[in-house]
Amino acid sequence: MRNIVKELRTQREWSQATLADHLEVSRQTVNAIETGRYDPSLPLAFTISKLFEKPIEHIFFVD
Amino acid sequence: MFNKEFSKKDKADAKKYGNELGLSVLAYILVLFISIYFAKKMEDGLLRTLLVLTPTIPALGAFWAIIRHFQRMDEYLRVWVLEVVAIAGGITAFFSFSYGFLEGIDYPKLSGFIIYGIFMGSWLVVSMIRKILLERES
Repeated sequence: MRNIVKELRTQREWSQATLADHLEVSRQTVNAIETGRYDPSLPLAFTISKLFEKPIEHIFFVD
Repeated sequence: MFNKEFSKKDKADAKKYGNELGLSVLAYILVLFISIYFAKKMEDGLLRTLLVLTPTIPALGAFWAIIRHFQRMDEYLRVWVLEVVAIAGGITAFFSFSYGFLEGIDYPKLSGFIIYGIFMGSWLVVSMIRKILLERES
């Protein structure tokens, strides 16, 4: 699975730690999601979607 | 070597874990020294046996602190740490299994304590290696 979390974060000029604060997760988790090593759970994906005001399928998609 | 950036959750969790584990370790050291001090002066018997076992109570506190830390972790970190624990368990089992063959040809019998040391050491080394690899990838 791929995602545009890094693009959305950098558009807002946020660091990984800032995004992690918004999502209430660790910085390593943001890093793992951005690099595609980890696909978030549905609740976390919804939180990301709500935060960036975009539908989930516009943020996460299959290769 | 490592990214020093942490989220508020990272910092809050580390602080709580540090306090809970630190307190348990402090209690353990205190109870350990007190139990050794009195056990040396006592005759063999049930009371002495129970006294030398008292440090296991604060040790359970440390175990409780670790479990609570696991529960505080977010979904990714929990999986990551549990994978490391599984790998450390595998290394320990491999060592124990292999050394069993060596004991068959009269290598010295090792104390059970060494297994715990190998497990904790493996946990530390595997964590460090995985962390370095992750930081390189990102």
